[in-house]
Amino acid sequence: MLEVKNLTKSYGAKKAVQNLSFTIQDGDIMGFVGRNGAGKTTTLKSCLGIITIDSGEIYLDGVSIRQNPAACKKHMAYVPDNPQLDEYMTGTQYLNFICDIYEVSSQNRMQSIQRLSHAFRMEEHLKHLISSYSHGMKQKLALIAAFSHTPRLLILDEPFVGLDPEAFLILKKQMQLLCAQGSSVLFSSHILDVVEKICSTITILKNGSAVYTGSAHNLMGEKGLDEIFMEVNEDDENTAYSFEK
Amino acid sequence: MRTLLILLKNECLKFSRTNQIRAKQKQAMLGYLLCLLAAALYVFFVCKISAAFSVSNNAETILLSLLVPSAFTCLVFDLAAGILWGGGLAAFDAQMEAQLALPVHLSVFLISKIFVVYVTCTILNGMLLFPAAVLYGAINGCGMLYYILLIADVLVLPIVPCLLGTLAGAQLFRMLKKLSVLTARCRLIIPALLLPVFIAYMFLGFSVSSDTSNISNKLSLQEFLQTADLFLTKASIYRSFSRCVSSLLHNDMITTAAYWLTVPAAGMLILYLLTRFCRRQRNICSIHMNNSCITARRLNPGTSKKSRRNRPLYAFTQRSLKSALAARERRRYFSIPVYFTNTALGLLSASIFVIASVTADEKIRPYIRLAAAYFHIPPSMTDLLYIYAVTILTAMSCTTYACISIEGKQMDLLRSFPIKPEDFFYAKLRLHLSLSLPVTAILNTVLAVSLHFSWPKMLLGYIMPSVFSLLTGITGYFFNIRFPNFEWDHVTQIVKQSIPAIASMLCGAFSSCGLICLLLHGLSDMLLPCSYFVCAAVGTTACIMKKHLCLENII
Repeated sequence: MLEVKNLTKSYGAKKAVQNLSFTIQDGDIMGFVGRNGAGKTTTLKSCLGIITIDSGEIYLDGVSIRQNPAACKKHMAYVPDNPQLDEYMTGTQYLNFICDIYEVSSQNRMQSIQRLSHAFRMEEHLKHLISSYSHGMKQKLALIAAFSHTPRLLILDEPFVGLDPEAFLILKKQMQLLCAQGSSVLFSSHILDVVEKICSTITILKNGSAVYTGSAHNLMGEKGLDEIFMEVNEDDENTAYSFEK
Repeated sequence: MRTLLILLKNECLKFSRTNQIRAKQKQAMLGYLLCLLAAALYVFFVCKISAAFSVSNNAETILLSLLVPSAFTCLVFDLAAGILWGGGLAAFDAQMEAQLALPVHLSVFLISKIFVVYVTCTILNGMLLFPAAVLYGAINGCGMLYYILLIADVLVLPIVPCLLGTLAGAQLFRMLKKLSVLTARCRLIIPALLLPVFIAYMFLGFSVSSDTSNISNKLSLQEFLQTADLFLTKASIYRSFSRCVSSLLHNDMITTAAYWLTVPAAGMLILYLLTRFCRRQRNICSIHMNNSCITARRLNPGTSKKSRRNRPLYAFTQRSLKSALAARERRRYFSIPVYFTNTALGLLSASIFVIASVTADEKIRPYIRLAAAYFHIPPSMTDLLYIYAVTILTAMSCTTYACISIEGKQMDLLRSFPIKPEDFFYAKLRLHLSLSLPVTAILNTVLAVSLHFSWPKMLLGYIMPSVFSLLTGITGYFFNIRFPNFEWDHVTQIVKQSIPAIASMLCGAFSSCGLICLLLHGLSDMLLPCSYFVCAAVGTTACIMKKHLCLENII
């Protein structure tokens, strides 16, 4: 589904991402972990074509995001870490707008929005202005919008920040449901427990490079993700050793 | 006092955006260029004023024809700045909540916030008043005391109007938040109407008793100003204001003492009232959620009690991508008062001008005739001045200069949508043209019918404002692509204080006024065909710019 080859991106003299390569298969949930400034958000934005990349290639179902961004974006959805939505719209108007952009038919959008708003407990709030929403409610609305058009690839940047425990569980379930339909999810998070539990593949980033990318099961073995994460960031030599093993 | 100084420094830093500009060399360069241009314009203005009035060498003429109108303009400007800018700061500042948590008195916060408005007003007042006052002082042979008192008077002048405007503006915004569906829509129009209504009042409120038929066909600038002054001095408010300014400049002891006692006292009283208002406003913030629900209902009249009962919760209808983007632009435009009021001013002024021309032609026509005489326009072509006026006012309205920046921190999300740059561009331009084209078409039809335009003139009336509006729209988009600002805290920063706002305003004014001035000065004998030629040139320029803009990859 998503194939990233030798992705490199710099901000001035600082290399945010260097020669990063990974693949996401249909139905995968990939978790991105790494310290602040490791290049997680830059990678996610590059995959979406939000920022231009210096070198490398990104393909979604064989279509290059650099060559044909609009066609790729049509099959993707993105929820940023701090969703800034159109505050002058009501929730319903916003969802309608998103569905128009992704050309979702009236019947489909009605069904999916009814289902999702019920799942995220947002039914009563959709008629209110977004400006009156709390951070968590905005986050939920952004998630509903992202799920509403059933994207092939869902990209989430820190999706669990600001969500209540119930929404947290609902989101996990929705991600799994989406993947069950053949779509994939790529998300970054600092909550290692969640990454460990729901991800089928994991990429650990350090200073813009992938220290590990592959199956979550192979990575962890008997260790917990938090333990591996600490090892990665404490000692480079040890990390290399542990992954070789 | 120390706290106040710290806050003032902070506000000045915020307003000047020194730190941001330091990081953006391109913006800084354009900023310097704009400052240079403004300085050049100011020097030109001072030279023109000196040339016009030094000939008369009469102190009274300078006082009545230059100083008093300038002081009156300053007062009105200060009041308007207080209402629109100060009122907005007092009523909508997002950082107020966080700042109120600090151990600082509310009045100190308010002073620090309004200080920027006051400084801006003082600088503009000084720029407008000093040339006239220096000319007056030089002719009268006034000493150093006159100049010291003059500086002090100018420093004190904006205090009361600024504070009063801020109080009125904050109250107005608060009241408008509470009103019904219809007035919730009207709240956008009311602030935008203030200035055009004032202009209309200035034109229509003064009775013109002089026989304007005596105005010769050829008029010098000196005669033009004197004749205009004749119209102005008929107003009663103006006469009493004129007496006050005269007494103050003549160092009349009673007036000076009254002025110096009244202004600080009134300032303190208004500041006290403003503090009380803001405290009360903050105390009722807890009902924010309820209010926003009401606002949501206002913005969606379809969700009224009856229709809510009948309609399903999700009444979704599918739209095309282009119309969805256009609807989003339209909804945003009519939901952000600052955006609307600042960008619709030209169109509203044009509407008021046309209404005034049609309903009170006997009062507008003397001004048109004055201008026609000044530019030596043949009587058969005088009607073109109406079209030019509508064109200039239309060109002042531009919604596109803030259309990219207004996406703010949402831009990343928008970039993740499957939207092509052309779709994005056309949605923005569509909003701009959907406002200006119907308005100018209606205005021109009204003018043409009531003033009996010939067919060629009528056609020009449709084409000229439209092509200038197209050019303004594309220019605004061009500037916003070059200088986007997605890191704003309040929409006023991009609508009022951004480089694209100033640059596109200047471009609109220069392109329309400049080209029309060239026509009037150099080609007054062949005005109609030359106007068509100008339209063709402007239209071609707009098309070329549009072609290049579509290639810009903002999305």
